[in-house]
Amino acid sequence: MRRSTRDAATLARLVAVAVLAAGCPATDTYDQSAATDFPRINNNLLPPGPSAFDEDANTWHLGSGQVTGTGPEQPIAFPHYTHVTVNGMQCEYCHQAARKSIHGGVPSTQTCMNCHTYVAKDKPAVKALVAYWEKGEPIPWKKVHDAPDFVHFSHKRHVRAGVDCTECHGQMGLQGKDLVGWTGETAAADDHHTDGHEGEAHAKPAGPVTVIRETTMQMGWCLDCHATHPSIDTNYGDKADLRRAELKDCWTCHK
Amino acid sequence: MTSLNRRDFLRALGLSGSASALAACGLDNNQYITPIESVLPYVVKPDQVTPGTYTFFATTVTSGPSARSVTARHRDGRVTFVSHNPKAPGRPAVGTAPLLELQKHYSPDRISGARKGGEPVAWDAGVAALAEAMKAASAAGKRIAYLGGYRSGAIVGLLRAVCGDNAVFWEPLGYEAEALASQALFGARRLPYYGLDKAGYILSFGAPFLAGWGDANLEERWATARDPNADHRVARFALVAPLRDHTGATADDWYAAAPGTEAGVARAIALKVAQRTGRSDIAAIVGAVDVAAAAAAAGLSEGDLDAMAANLVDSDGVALPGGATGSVDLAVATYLINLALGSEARFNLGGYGGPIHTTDEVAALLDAADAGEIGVLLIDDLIDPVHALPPSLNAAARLAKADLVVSLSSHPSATQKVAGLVLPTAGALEDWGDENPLDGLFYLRQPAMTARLDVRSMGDILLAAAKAAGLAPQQNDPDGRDVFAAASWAAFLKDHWQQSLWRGNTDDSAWDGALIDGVWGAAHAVAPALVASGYPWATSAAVAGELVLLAGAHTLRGDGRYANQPWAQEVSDPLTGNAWSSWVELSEATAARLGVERFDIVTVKTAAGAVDVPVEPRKGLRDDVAYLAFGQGHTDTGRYADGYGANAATLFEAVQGGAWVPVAATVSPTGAKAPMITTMRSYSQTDEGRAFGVHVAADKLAKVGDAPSDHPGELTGIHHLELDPRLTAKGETYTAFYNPPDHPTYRFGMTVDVNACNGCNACVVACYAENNLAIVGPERLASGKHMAWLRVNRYWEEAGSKDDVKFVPMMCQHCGHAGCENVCPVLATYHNIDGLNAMVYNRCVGTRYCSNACPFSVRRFNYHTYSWPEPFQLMLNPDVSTRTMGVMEKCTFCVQRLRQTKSAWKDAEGLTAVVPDSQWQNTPACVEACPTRALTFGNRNDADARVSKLAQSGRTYEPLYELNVRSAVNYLAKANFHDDPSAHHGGGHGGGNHADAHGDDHGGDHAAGAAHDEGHGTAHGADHATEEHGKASPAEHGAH
Repeated sequence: MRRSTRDAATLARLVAVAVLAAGCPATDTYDQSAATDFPRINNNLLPPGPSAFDEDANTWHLGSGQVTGTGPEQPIAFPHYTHVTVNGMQCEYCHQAARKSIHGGVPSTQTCMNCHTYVAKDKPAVKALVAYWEKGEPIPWKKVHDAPDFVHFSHKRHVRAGVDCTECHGQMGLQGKDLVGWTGETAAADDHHTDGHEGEAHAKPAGPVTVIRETTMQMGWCLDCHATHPSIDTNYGDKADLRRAELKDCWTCHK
Repeated sequence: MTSLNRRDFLRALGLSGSASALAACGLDNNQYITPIESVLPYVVKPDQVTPGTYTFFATTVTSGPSARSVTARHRDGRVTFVSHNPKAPGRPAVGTAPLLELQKHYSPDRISGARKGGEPVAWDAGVAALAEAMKAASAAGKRIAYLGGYRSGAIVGLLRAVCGDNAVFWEPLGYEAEALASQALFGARRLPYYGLDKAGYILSFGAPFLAGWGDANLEERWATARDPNADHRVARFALVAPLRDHTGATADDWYAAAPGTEAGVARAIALKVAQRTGRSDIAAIVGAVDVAAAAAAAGLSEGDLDAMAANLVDSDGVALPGGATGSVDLAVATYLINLALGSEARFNLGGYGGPIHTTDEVAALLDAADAGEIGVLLIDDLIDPVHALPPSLNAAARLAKADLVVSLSSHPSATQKVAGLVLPTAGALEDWGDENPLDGLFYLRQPAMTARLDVRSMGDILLAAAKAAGLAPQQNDPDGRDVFAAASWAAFLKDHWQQSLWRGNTDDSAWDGALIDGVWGAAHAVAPALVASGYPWATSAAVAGELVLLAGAHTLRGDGRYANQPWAQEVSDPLTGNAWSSWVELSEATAARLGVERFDIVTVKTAAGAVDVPVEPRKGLRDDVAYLAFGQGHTDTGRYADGYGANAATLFEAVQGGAWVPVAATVSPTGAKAPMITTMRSYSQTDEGRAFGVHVAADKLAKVGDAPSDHPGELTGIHHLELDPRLTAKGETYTAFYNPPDHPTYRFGMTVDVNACNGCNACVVACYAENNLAIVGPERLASGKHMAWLRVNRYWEEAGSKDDVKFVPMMCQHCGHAGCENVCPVLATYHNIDGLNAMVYNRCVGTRYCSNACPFSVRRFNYHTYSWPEPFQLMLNPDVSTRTMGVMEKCTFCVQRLRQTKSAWKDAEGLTAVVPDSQWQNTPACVEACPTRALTFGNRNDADARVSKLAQSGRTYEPLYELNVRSAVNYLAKANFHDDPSAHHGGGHGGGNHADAHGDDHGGDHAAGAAHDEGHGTAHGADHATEEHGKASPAEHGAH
C-alpha cells in the first residue's frame, strides 16, 4: 500500500503539471534546435499515428510515432525472406554481435561476400553489393529503428535472456518477399533529382523499402514485456517478482 | 486504478493537451523531426572488434619520472576513458594527469598535417625539408639539437643518435635541483625513491608530492603512511616552507620558514640527525653549521629543529626536498638527512634514471643558437620554452636564430610560432613508445586508437629524416646496432626491447605478453653510494624584500602543459576554488595591510616584470610571502588557455642553480575588481559546527584503526546525535512519513576517507570524463552554474595554535530518505531498488525543487544547452546521455558502470548470481581515479564488503545525520596531530586504548591543544551514547 500512497500523490501532481504544460509553449524562449537530444515531445506524449516522410528534408516526423508497416528506403534491395525463409539462415550468422554487444550488429560487407562471391552474382541487388565491395565503401544502410540517444538498449541482455528476435523485430523472415524477382527498377528513383542539388552526390537512398517496422518500440511497448515476459519466470524462478521490480527501474534503459 | 495506470493516463493527457497546444499555438510539426540516420558497417571487420563493446589497451600516458601505465578504454574506434593498469605496481589508480592527457588528445586546437613557413605542405615535403636542413647542418659543422621534456626509454637512444649531446631534456618545473644534488653526492643525475609508506614521520621542505611531483605512486605511499590500518600508526607530516600549498595543506605541523632559509634549516637538521645516528661521515659533509642562526633566520626555534630531528630518528622518518622552487643545497641537505637515517626502504636511488638537464644547459643552448652554431633545433610537444622561460633569457628571439626551428608538436604554442617547420606528432594514445619511471621498471606504450589527425610519430619523423639526410648516428646503442636501420619507430622500439632489455629474446610471445601487460620488470632499491666527502654550501639567507614572490606548479594545470584542457581550467583549485584564472595568494594579514579584498585586482611587480591579477587572501602563508601559480597567461596555445590568467614566469629574473629563486615583489591595488570565478564563493568555508569535516587525534587510532566497532562513530563523537523526538518513534531508529525503501539485493553505498583525501581532484576530473559533464566557462562559472557532480570541499579551520585543513569530497549521498525525491512533481527523481537516487532526465521539467530540497547542494541544473566543439564530441561517453537546457542532473554512482558490471557478471556466473564485493570496489569513475583509496564503493547489504566494514569503523560519521536522510555515503574522520611535535615521538606507536580514544575526540582538544592529548577518556569511556555527549559535540565544534 505504501507505494500506492506515493503514486496517488504523484498522480495528483502530474495532473496539475500536465494541465499547465498543455498551455502555449513559449517558442521564443525554448530553443527547439537545441533540444534534439531530448525532444520532450518524444516522451510518449503524442499518440501513435501515421508517420510522414518529409521529402525535402529527407526526414520522418518523429512526433507522429514509430509507426509500423513502413521503413526507410535502403541502398540495396536486401530480402530477408530469401536468406531466412528460403535458405534457412540463422539470424546470428549475419548479426553476430547480438549475443555479445549492445548492438545487434549490421554485418560487414565481407560477411555478405562470404557467399556472394559465388552465389547469385547475376541478381541486381548482389551486383550493387559487389560494387560497394569493390569500391571498399561501407554500405549506407538506413536505420529502421532509431532509438533516441537517451535510450540505452542492450541486444545482448535480451538475446541471452531468451527473448526471440522476432518478438521485437517481427517476422523478419517474411520481409522482402515481394522483392523476389526484383529487377532493380524503383518507381521513385529519379524523383529525387529535382530537389535543387544537381551536381552533388545523390543524397538519398535509391532503393526500395526492404525492411519495415513491425512494432512501435515505444517505451510503453517495452514496459509491457518488462512486466510480463515469460522469460522472467523461467530465468529467475522464485526471484521473478524481484526481477520484475528491477525491470521497471527507469535506469534500466535511461542513464 | 487497474484500468488506467500512470503511463496511460499521461498518454491520454498528452494527446489532448498537446493536440490543443499545437492547434492553439500553431506549432509546426516539422519542428519535431529527426533525420534518418545511416548505419555504416565495416567492409571488413577486424577480428577482435565487436561494435558496441569495450576493448582495453594497456599503454602509457605522460612521460618521464611520473609516467603512468594505464588501460585505455576503447570503443568503436575511440578512447573515452583511461583507468588504472592493474598490472602496474601500486594501487590501481589513475590520477589527474592521464585524464587531462586524454582530453588533450581530443583538443580542438590540435593541428593536422605538416606546415612549412606557416603554409601547409605534404608530409613528405616536410620531412624532406627537415632532412635537407640536417644535411646542411652536418655539412657546415653545425649542431643538430633537440629540446624537449623528460622522456625515457627507447626514444632517448634515437634522439641521442640524431643529436648526440645536443639532446636536452628539460622541464620548467622539473627536477634539476634534485638531479644536481644527486650528481654532487652520488655522481649521477638520478632521482631518489622515497618509501613514504614505510615512514612514521614525513618531513617535507615543500615538494608538491601530492600534486604530480615524483613518481606515480608517491600519493599512494603517502596515503599508506597515513592509514591507521596499515601498521597501526599514522605518519606525522611536517612541512618546512613559507606557505602551505595544496600538498602542504594536509601537514600536521607547519614550520613557516622564511623563503630562502629552508636549506639552512635542512642542513641544521641533517647535522642533528647525523649526530643522533652517529654518522660522522654525513656530519662531515654537512660541515659546520650555526644551528641557532639557521633556525633564527628561518623564524623557527632550535627546539623546533630538535623536535624534527628527534621525530625523524625515532619514528622512521623520511625527508623530501623542495621541488622545483627549492635550491640544490636544500636537495643535498635532505638527501643527507635521509642518508643519516640510513634506511634504504625509505630512501634509495631506485628512482628515475632518465636524462635531466638544467635551465643553465637550456640557456647554453640558447647561447649556441644566438651564436649561429645550431643548424636544426627540434622542440617537442611536452614543453613551451618561449612561454615558460624567464623573459631575461629572451628565448623567442634567440631560438629563432637557429637555421631551422622544428616544432614536433600537434599542439599550438608560443614556441611553435617561431618554428619554421611544424611536424605535428602523434599523442600518447596514438603512438608507440616506452618509459622507464623507476629503476628496473619499464612501461610500454602502444596505440590505443588510430591517429585522429594527420600526424606522425616523432620516432618515425626522426628515422625518416636521418635516413634521408644520410646522417651517421652520433651515438649508437650500447650493443652497437645501427639505430637508423630500423624500418619504423614501432620496429625500432620492438628491437630495442628484444635486443637491449631482453638480451636477444626475439620470441614474439614475450613481446605480445608485454603489450598485453603494458609493463615489464620490477622496481628495486638501489643503494645510495656516496662519492662525495664534502659539498660547497652556499650561504643560506632569507630573500630580502617586504614581500617575496614564490611560484609553483598548479595542481591541475601543472607547469602549463594542461592549460588548454578545459577540465584543468574548469575544475576548481583545491585550496581556493578558483578557476579559469590566475590569482596571487597573500596572507589575510597582508591583504588587510594592503587594503585589498578577495578578487580585487592588484599589480604584482618584480624587477623582471609585472602582472595584474586578482588577489586571494588565505590562511597558510607567511605574511611576507606572495604566491602565484605557474601555467597560465598563454597567448598562442588555444581557445581554453589564451588570455586566462597571467604568466608567472615573466616575474622571475633567471633560474639559477636549479630553482625558481624567490624574488622580492611589490603588490599594489589597482582599484579594479575581478569577477568571482570560483566555486568557493564564501572564502571562510569553515566547518562552522556542521560536522562535514571531522578529525580525530591520530595517536588515539593506534591499535583501533578502522576495525569494525560495535559503536560506529565513537571516535568522532558526532554519530550519536539524537534525532528530533518528533521524528523518533519508540523503539525505532527510522521514522519518516513514508516507509523505508526496500533494497532486497543491493544497497549501493560509498565511504569517503577524509584522512586519505588530499584534494587532488582526480575524482572530479574522472567524473567530468565519464559522465559527459558540461564545461560552462568562466562567465557562467562566476554566476554559479558549474556542473560538477562531485566537488571537493575544503574546510580550513583553526584548531588551537594550528590550522587544520580537510578535503571532503561531496557527491550525491543517495539518501534512503531523500528530500529531493519527495518534492519532485513529476517523479523524475526517485529511489531505485538498488538504493540509488535515480534521476530521469526525460521526465524532468526543471522545477528545481529537488535542488532546493537537497541539503548537500549536489544537484546541478542545466541553465543552458552546452555543446562540445569538434572534436570533443568524440570523447563523450556513449553510455551516458548528454543533458540539455532545463534538466536537472547529479551523481549517479556511475550507474552505467554498475549495469555493465552486473551484465558482465551475469555473462560469467548466470542471471541470478549476486555480484560480489570484489567486482564493485572500483566501479565508479571517481573511485577508480582516486590515487589514495579515499573512496570505497560497494554493496552495503553485504556485511563483508569493504564499504560495509569501513562504515562500521570508529572513525565513521555521516554529515547532517540529524536530518534523518539515511545517507548511503559514510565519511571517515581525518586523523591528525594537534599536539606539540616536541612532545611526540613515535608517530602514533602505542597510542591510547579504545576508551581513551573515545574520550579525546569530541572537540575540546582542539582549542586546548596538547593538554587534552593524554587520556582523560575514562569519563566517557564506555558510555558513549549519552545524550550529553551527542548534544555537546556540535556546539563545541561550532565554537572553534
